[in-house]
Amino acid sequence: MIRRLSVLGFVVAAVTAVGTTPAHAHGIGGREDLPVPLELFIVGAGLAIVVSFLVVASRWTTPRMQDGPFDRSSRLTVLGALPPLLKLIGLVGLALVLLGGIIDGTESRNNIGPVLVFVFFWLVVPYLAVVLGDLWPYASPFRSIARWANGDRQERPDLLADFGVWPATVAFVAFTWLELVSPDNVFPRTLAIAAIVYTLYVLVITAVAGVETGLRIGEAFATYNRLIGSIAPIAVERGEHGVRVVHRGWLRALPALPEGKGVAAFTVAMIGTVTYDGASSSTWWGEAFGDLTRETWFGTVALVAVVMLVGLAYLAASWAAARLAGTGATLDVARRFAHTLVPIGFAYAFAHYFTLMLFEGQLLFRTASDPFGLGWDLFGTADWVSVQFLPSLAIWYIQVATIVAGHIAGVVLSHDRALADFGRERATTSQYAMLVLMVLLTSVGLLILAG
Amino acid sequence: MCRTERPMMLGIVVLVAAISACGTSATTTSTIAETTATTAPTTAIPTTSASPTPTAGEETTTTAGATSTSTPGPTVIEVSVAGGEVAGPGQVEVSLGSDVVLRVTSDVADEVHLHGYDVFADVEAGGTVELSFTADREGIFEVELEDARLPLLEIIVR
Repeated sequence: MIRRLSVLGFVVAAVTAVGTTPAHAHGIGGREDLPVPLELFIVGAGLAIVVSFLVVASRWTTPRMQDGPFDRSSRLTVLGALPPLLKLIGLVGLALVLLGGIIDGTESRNNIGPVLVFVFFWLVVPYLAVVLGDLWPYASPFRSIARWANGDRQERPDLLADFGVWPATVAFVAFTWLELVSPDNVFPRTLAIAAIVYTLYVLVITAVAGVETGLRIGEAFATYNRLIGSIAPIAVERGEHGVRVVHRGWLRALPALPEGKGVAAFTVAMIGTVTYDGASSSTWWGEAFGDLTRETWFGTVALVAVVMLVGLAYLAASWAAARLAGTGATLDVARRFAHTLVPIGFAYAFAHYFTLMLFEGQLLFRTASDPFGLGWDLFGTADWVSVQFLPSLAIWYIQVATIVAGHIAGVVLSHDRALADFGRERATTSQYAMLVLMVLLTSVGLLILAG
Repeated sequence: MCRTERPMMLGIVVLVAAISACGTSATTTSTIAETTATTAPTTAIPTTSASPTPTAGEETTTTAGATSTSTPGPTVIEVSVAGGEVAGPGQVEVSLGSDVVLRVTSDVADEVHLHGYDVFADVEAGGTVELSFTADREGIFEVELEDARLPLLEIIVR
């Protein structure tokens, strides 16, 4: 363990030692979508409200989604090569980010690091998870390294019971801080250092709690992808019979998620961080706060404040639901309904970032040919100019449709959980609290797209 | 998903489709109206500066610091930087497909970067640099004095 840590220490030293001349920022982002027009905003919000009441007033009067993921036993077992392949991709990706930081740490345009971190790791992986199920356990280089270093450690489930996913929640907000607030966030060197710091953090937490338990407690992207992957209709499972695809139905894995401490906080953080991003780049934010918006400390405070506001709204809704149902404490309700926010959180992130993935993601073509700005042209794509192939109208429709779909999924999940927890009589009344919250979140989600 | 849920889900899908269809026609109309710029846009788009309503034949809606040009010449946008302060329009709207010339004067040597289009130009201390490009991508694009990380303006292309 000590020798292995010293290897990492050497890499840290190498990355930080090579040059510190400041140069160009940005390589990712800098383009925003045009605001969603008012008509679409109204159609979206109206739809959300109508559907909400349809669900509540429907003949859906017994819980149907609480019995765990469906398994129709349609299984494929031809996927043995998938886990090693994904593992290799994950490790190569991490190596490229580190090399990018060592070789050319401040030139983000011609470096593969920023596009790997902010487009592939941060967007493509969870977007795949929503369709294919969570693949991060197979690909995660952090898991691979933790198993290599700490594979012999005792698992400590008691620590999971004590801390839940709170450490992962803090790490998640810290990453979004790096993305949205930190001043040097697009420098390949910054990302390489962040990757090393995060790897060390994962090593420490898995050394203390054991690999599987440690990753559950502290690995932000493991929790992120697990939550989002639970939306998917299928899952890739590795069992004693090899690797296979298991069918389980859309959203079915969400009610079956283990209710650890902090899952609600994590989903709140998913929604809050995107809300901060949307709000802080809107015109009214600039008008309201002026030059303050360029201060790092202000961005930090504002990011945390927006996350906490969303958290307060969720607690308020949980409190009201507990009151209306006449059973259960506020925090129990908050924990029991945490999974219902996952589709809404994902919809926020997708609506906000899918054009970044499609348009800025094309930087990969350029940087794959010349990953470190050395003038290479490995695949003949070094001069690739990104193509913006979707008109704004299409972008708006996709954004509004995603937000409304996330809302519907949230309302359906919440309805079903209310029937299970509160019984048919009280479910309807108790639900109004969550419904108000969800309509509010959906309106805010649309509003930050419109402003 | 159970068989019994199907009718309701189907109902929701049909409803979504129906309402979206209504939305489509409304939005398309308003988009055409904006593109031809013969009528005032039905959608209120907030800008930092109070922009006048676009009128026929005019390619741009700008305020102090930017020159609005009639067809056929390119739209010229001027920004200057002195002592870390930016003097310019803040936000400029140009129509999709138009030619734009961005003229930046700076008291410090730096690089001007138009994000999204990835157009760059070096400017010398006390010098002026021109970036020319065709506004062929929709969206809101930031122009930045790169090394100073000073945002100069946003160009809205629609």
